[in-house]
Amino acid sequence: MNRVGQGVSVLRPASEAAARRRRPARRWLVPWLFALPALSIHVLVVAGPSLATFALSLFNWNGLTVGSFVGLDNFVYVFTKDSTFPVALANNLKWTLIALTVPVLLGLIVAVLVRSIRSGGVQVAYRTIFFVPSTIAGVVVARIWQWIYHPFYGINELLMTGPLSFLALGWLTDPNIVLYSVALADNWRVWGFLMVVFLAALHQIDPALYEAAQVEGANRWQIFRYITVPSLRPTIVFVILNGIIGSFLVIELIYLMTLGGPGNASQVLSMWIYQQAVFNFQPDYASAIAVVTTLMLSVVIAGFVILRKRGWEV
Amino acid sequence: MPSLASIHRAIAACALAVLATGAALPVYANPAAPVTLNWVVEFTDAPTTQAVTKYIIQPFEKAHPGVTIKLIQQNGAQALDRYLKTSLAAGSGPDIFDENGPSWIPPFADAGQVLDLTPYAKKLGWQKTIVPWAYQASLYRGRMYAIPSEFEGLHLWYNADLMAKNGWKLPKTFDDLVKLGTDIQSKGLQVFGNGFSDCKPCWEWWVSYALTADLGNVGAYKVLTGKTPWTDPHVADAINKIKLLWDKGFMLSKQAPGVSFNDGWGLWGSGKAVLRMEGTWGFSPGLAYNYAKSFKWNIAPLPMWQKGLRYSIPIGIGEVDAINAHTAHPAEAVAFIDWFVGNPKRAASWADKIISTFGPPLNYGPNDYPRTMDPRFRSVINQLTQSMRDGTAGYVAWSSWPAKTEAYMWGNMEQVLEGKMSVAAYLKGTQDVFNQEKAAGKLPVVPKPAGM
Repeated sequence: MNRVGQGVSVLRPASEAAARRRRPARRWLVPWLFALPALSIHVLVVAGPSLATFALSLFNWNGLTVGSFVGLDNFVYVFTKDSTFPVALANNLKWTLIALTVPVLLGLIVAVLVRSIRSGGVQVAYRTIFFVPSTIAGVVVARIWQWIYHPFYGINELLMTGPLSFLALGWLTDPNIVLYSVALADNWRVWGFLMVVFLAALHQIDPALYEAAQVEGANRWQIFRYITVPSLRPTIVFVILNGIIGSFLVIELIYLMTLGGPGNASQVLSMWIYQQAVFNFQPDYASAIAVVTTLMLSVVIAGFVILRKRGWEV
Repeated sequence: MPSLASIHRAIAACALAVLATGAALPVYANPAAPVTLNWVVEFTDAPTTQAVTKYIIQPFEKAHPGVTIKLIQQNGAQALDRYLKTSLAAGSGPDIFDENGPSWIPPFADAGQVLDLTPYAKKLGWQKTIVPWAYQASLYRGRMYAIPSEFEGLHLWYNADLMAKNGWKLPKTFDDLVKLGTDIQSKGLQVFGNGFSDCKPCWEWWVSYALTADLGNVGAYKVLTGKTPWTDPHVADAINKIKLLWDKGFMLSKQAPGVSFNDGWGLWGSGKAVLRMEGTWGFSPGLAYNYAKSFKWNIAPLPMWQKGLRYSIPIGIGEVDAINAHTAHPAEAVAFIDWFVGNPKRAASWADKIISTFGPPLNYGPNDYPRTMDPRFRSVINQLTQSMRDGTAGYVAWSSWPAKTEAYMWGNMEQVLEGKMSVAAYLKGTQDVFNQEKAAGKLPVVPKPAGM
């Protein structure tokens, strides 16, 4: 009786086993082949240099002559003798705090407000206006804000003429506020992008939830707190995680506006790494600081992964 | 007593050795096939590019048929250094390259990346054409690995109209400088129009000036060669005087770290600042001539800070040129290098065109400079040359400090000025770094001053 139609093989048993072995191999091999081009680029451009950086951190090398293996000496120096490293780390933590509050809250609140605009055209107009700064190149952003903060030609010239003269501060020269001044410039550029991200996520929320809430008599704050925010949790977590990583890697505006000054007041880890590698001819030590930064970020990411596995829905 | 024959044999052997040495050096001859030399430089502005092409490259190519110079431009000192280290470490790299002074060359020399030019210097007579002070300053471990292609000095640049209008006199002493600064401030003007937000290394100008002005060139020499410690009270006094000028608000009312290099020029050019503490590179087309179009300006000696010290200009080799040790065309590359330093009259001919970019420190004759040259620049350059000849030249960090000591000093200056680091701690740190570099044999050659 022909049993092929019933899904039973008519092959002999040995060939059957071989066929079974072939099918799983093809199953896992083909996806890898598709991923191979991107993986090759990743190995060449990311993984390879990362491993090289780690290896370099174990050497004493000035970038040209043959280096000598020194083990963990560079790492010991980072934590025991480098007086700038803790300053830079503290500044990165301050930057992180700002990055996780100001642009995130502003982006979220404005997204909710923009979402509530009924006119499609007006909504698009607002989205565009708020999004535009995030399309401006960092060099241009730095120059714009350097002119705003300029001690002789900037906003201080206007403030000095009126009752707000007490606000004419040393925006980029006062060590107590320079970091926040640069952070403000960065937030100005970034918050519009976050607003668009939240807006896209808001569009995904089922309108029936809002209708049900309104029927139940919930006010706007309760709707925001018990429906909007929980629904946006994956997006908020994504934004926070990226914000933390971005805060530890920040360099662009610091490099363009202050070079970490005055007197290391706006020094951050990436800027310090750059200075060690380029100004101080110590790519080995710069690599050690880079490895330490990576390890710190890995701890943060691992934390998120662990919480997720425990069902925290992060 | 050796026989006559053996003496003749010895003389013949020496002559053969000399000839063999000369014969071993590749000498330029019209190449059989076209040769392109890649030359990396640290300027990107159009006026300098056009001037270098017109007054250096094209005449060289005309005199050396078959050789083409290809400019590879990097924007600034750090970009240049990054490019060179990456490309040379990768085994490629240009045939010839600029660097920012003799103190930048040792890493390349230690790595065997630059051609030892010492035999060429002897063969082509560079020891005669280059001012001895500058020749000495260009050596590393007694060998020449790069030629000095530009020399410069620090001076006081001033708005002559404002000085005359207010009856202000040029300062001759530190007290004069403080009084002048106070008078300038009383008129609502800024004293020194120098900005540092995008040029933290520029703080080394002040360190260089302070050491020379407060200790004299003999005292500075002793510090730079390790005979006097950096923690010496006289060195501390020099740094404290910089802090005094800062505390008085002479550096843009303490806003200098928030003003860019070009904005600082702009403040001076618009008459908001009266003075600049600047090097002779200020004669570049894009600087003084560009910014100061609406008033008369001039430059003057910076005052010495201690009584009884002979006047000394902080002088340095601002630019050097080296040859890649692995170049495929050493003969042609040496011919190009020789174009800079082999003939003072030729180098003087482009001095007023490529002011401050490629003005090698040569033994110029009194009439070598063109008549069209800015008399202010002519006067200053002659002063610098004479100063190098008679041993009264001072020193600048980018030429006479070891590299990491230099980086430490400018890198921590703002902390000192802001009061976050004491002068004692600053100089202790300087001494520590200096000691490491000295132990590693990394100290540059510091030309001896007269009287030592």
